[in-house]
Order: sequence, then structure tokens, then C-alpha cells
Amino acid sequence: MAVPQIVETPTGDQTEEHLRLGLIVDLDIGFAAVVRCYGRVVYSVALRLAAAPADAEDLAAEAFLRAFRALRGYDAARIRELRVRPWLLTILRNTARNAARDAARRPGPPPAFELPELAVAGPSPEQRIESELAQREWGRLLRLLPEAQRVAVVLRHVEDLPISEIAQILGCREGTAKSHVSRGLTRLRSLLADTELPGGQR
Amino acid sequence: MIEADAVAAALGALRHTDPPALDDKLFTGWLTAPSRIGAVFVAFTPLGVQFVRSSDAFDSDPGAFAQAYRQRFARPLRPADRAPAGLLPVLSGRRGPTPPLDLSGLSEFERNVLAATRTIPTGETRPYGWVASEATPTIRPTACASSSTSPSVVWPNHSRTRRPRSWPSIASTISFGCWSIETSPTAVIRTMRASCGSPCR
Repeated sequence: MAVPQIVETPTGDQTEEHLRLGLIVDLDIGFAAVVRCYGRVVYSVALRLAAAPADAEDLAAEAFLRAFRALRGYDAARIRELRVRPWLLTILRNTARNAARDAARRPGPPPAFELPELAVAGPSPEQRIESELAQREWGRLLRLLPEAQRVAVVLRHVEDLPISEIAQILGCREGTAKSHVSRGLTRLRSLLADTELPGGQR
Repeated sequence: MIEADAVAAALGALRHTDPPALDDKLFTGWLTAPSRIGAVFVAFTPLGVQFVRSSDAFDSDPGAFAQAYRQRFARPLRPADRAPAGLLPVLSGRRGPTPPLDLSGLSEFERNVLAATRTIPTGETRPYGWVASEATPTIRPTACASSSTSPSVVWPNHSRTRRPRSWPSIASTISFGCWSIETSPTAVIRTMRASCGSPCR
């Protein structure tokens, strides 16, 4: 059976159903559809969870590979019960935590020049540099948040995920997830008070 | 202090809309290619050839090949349009540069063992002791490496003996060249005599 081409949509129930069906019919082809559908969100969140932006691509790839290895052991009934996006993001979060723990045990590499996070087409070079600096500064501020708050804030305000899904990814109740989002925002505002962002944002 | 709405709006602008292509990091390409021993299935990554199997071994069933690949490497496969540069001439027996091999999943020692075996001329054999001395002077890691690494490198044709009981996880998958023990380093001979249940001449 052919697996339909799917792109990420705001109304995800139908998308998820197609993805689950694809995984059951043919794991490799179905998994390719999952990567096409959720590659963007996984990478975007990885960009905020990785120790450095340059590590985000490897982190996202590692999370997908772990997901694939897990899927190999799932039967059709288990795949039918799967909520693919929060499940993937949970794996991403755990992979990032493991990577951070491993990195803490090893001496860090020497400081390296990092490529800009975002290439913006259109604006002038000055505007691009300013935008990239602002992005980098926001990334730095987000990394100052406790891990659960950072994940909650990124999922809610960067990726616009519903609280129910964030709670599932964090493994907590919805009220607790809301609290993480709220406290994270408050902490960010406090950090911003001491920071001058490029372009005069404050 | 800055308004919460302004913070939320600024965070929304961080949403990444142009992710890099992850496919090459995730998927291994595969195809069927002709060779001197008949059709073969070949799996390869951007780093090089990773897995080669005779098509006959799977009754020409790509699904069975994919299952064997996943069993060993736990990665997804996707069909490839073109073979890696240099692969087809080598498979057909023509002289030419050897295509790169993807040995990224192996330890440094395993790579050393395979590098040693690649120096053995076609049609010749070497004892495990020789391979061991080329990598490190211990026979057990040599046997482990030869049993767990990708068979994309052709292993020399050693004679088989009875399965050593003390190496159950190894002996089921490798041949054990007892005839060559006498030419091996002393430490290796001792290790093999202690481990091998068959009479070594």
C-alpha cells in the first residue's frame, strides 16, 4: 500500500492517523513520512535544547534514530495507540538530557566559532546580522532557564503546541505544564530586564 | 519589566521554518547490483558501502534483505537511484579504486582488524594470529571483531573446527583456523589452547 505524502498541519489528528497507518504498512516508508512531517518541529525544538546550535542537527537525527529503533519493537496495536508528535518530542527531550549529562562528564572543547542560526533572505546584511545576533541572544537566555521550563516555553510559545501535548512530553499534569510555561516566561522577563538585545529590543 | 505578550511574540519569531535535510543522516540507500557471484544487495551511506549480501541468500527478496540490515544496523533503508562511485566496477571484477567503506559503527580496534584483512591479497589466507598481531596481540578481540563487523569486507577462508564451548557467542558465527595456531605468537597459542575444545595440532 502506498503511503501518502503528508505535511505537518495544525489539525494533526488526521495527519497522525495517516502516519500511524504508514508505519504499520511499511516501517521504512512510513518512517520517511514521519521525518518529512515532523522533521521541522523536531529540528526547531532541538535548536533550543542542544548545548550549541551547531549540535541541533545531530541531536534531531539521533532522536529520530532512537525513535526508529523503538518502532522496530512495536507491534501494530502499539503503533495504533501512538501519538507520534509528542512521542517524538519526548524522545528528543530525553536524548538532549542524556547528551547534556554526558557532556557534563567530559571536558568541553575549546570555544569555536558558530555559524549563524538562521539565514534570512531579503533583509540587508546589517539587518541580517542584527537578526542573527538577536536570535543567538534569545537562545542564550532560553538556555538559562531550568530544563523543564525551557522545554515548556519552547513548545508553547515557539512551536505553539497545546498544553495537553506539552504535559505529555514533560510527563506531568496539565496544570504543572502550565506552571512551567508561566514560570519560564516570568524568568525570561526578569533575565531580559538585565539584557540589551541587538536592535534595541528590551 | 517587558510585557509577557512581547516576550511571547519574540519567542514565536524563533520558530525555525527551514530545517536542514536530515535524510542523509537517517536513511541508508540500497540497491541491487550485478557482480561476479550474481546479483547482490548493497546498502550504503554517504560515508561509503556498509552492507553487501548475495541476492540468492534472501531468495531475491528485498524485504528479507532490509530485515537483515535493520537487525544489524537498526537504521531505516530507502531505495537509491545510483550506486556509489567505484562500486559497480569492483563488483564486476574490474580493476579500479576501491569504493569507500562506512565503518563508522565500529570501534577503533575493529577497524584495525578489518584494515589488516584488506591487505591480504585475493586468494590468499592468513591465520587469526597474523591478524591479531597486526591489530593487537590478543586473539579474543580479533574473533569478536570478525564476528560482529560488517561483512562488506571479504574474510579469508579459514578451516572450521569444532565449536569452542567457552566461546559460545563467538563460535557460532566465525570459523576458527586451528591449523594456523602453530605459527601464531606464543601468547595467542596459549589463549587459543585454553579456549578451544578441539585438539590443536
